[in-house]
Amino acid sequence: MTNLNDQDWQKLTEELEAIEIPKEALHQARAKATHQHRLTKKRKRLLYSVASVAVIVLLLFVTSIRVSPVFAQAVAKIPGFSPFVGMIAYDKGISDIVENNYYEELGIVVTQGDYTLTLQNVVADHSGMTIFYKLESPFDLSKVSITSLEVTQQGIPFGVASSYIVSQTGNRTIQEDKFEITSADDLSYGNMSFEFNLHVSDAVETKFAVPFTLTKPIEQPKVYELNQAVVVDGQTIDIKQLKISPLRAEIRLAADEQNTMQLLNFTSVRLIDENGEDWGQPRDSGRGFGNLRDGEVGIFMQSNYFRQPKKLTLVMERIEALPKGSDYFEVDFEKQKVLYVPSELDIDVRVPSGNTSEVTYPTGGIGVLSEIVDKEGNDLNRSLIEMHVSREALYDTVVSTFDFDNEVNPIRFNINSYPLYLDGKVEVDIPID
Amino acid sequence: MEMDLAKRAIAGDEQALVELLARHEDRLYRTAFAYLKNEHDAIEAIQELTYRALKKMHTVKEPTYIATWLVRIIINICLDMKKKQEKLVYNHEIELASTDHQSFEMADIIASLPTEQQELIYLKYFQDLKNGEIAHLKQIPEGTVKSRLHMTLKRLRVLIAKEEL
Repeated sequence: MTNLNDQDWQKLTEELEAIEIPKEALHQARAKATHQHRLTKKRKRLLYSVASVAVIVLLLFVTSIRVSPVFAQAVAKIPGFSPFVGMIAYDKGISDIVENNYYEELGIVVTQGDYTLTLQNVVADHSGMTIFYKLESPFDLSKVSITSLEVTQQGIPFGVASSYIVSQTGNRTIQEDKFEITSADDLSYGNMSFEFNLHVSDAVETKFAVPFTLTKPIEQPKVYELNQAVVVDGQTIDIKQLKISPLRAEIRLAADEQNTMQLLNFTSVRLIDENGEDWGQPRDSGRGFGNLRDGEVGIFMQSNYFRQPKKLTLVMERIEALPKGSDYFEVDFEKQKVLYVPSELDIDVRVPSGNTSEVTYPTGGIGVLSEIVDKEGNDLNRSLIEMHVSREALYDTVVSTFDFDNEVNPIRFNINSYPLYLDGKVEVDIPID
Repeated sequence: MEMDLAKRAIAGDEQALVELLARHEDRLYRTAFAYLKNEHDAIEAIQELTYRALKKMHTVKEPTYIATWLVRIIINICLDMKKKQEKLVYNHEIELASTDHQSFEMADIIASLPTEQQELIYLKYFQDLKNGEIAHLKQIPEGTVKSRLHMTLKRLRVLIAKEEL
């Protein structure tokens, strides 16, 4: 047998292990290749429809979660939290909230006709409120849906409902879920009495209005004023403020008006501490608010509120951007004509009828077409009556049906996400005192 | 998780394939670097690997072998690129190599083997594949893998002895 020395193999392994991995460059290489592949691939379309884009997105997230067993155990012990282990296990901020007992048990049970509603737990801070609830009925709950869900404070809606879409399917008589409220401005807890409103789409239109009062103190956010201009790939980004609340951290920023590229989407935003541990964007909740075209935006991250880091660095990578002027397309519904689609983008637009558009674009963007305006600048999202999304391997096709009132053609669709990235990243040290 | 990703990739899920490539990036990149000796070309090889894999992923029959399949593609790409590099050097009669190119002892010795044997070494000793897996990958009997490995090691030993003189 011609055995070589173990030393020789070790040398080979050592030589190769010593090669540094240029992670970011490799990421870019894969992204470039993916883009190139999409451009050359012929498109086939297979249409299936779903209720909304949000449902698809949520289902994808729920199926791709990895649960840490330790955390899962910890959460499962708290009454009312166990069904959400899968939904919140990827958010370290929620994990810290549980460990630090920063939540309030309600245990309020109300029966209304065929339905029983239980308010289980609430987590509240100045950035938002998350309520865990349970709905029960002797009948199959998959036959009805929740048509309205909100929390009011003295009769006024509290914050903005950011997610309450149920991803469960199949027959069930118990439905447990969380209801999330977020707010661009600090929520006020001057009055700690609230009302939880939930409407069901059954024959008698069951309505719940359940009062509840919070007694635990609300923690103040940690606010860092940054006001720094950072240049990435020739584009200036003004980083304004970092605010860390128990439920989420939020970075506020704006794109400089002089930029030649329209920034679309920050796909990777993280806070990294002195040990290299990072807090990224939450995966199922609202990703933030605002629009880079209009000025300031807020991007949400998982919260490290309950930690005391010695050093904190904000890192933003993979910033989606398109040249200004190539970041929208335009159609005339009346003439059923596509007027403008940037030629360098892999987007296919059709107008099959006077009130329908069909857009195919590379998979990956979330809320790609969330801004639709007419010639006068009127927001047409309210005219949108139905949206079907279908997915075939690498492309999503969105068929939107409108109920036009008195819109003025041409109609512009702003592109809010596209898999092309700025070359470079933002890295800002947060001054902690 | 890995199996799940592989299945999804074969079914045409682009993101799953990209995730798989990211997971195996260390070994794939290092293999490419060992062949090409510089970062720029190795990154290019990874880009080409991604493209080819996306194009051909539906042809993989067995999810268990997807990682192996990726290794084979990267080696093929590197060999193609090396041929081009050599042509370029020859045509222009200049020495592109040496200055900015990193050199390795073992990897360089291995590079002087016939390509077929180089591939065998990388599969067996860097990617840690079993003879059976290599046989499946190369579509040859396991016995043949054994005998080829035997030949290769014999040759390599001669080369190492030469180097040490």
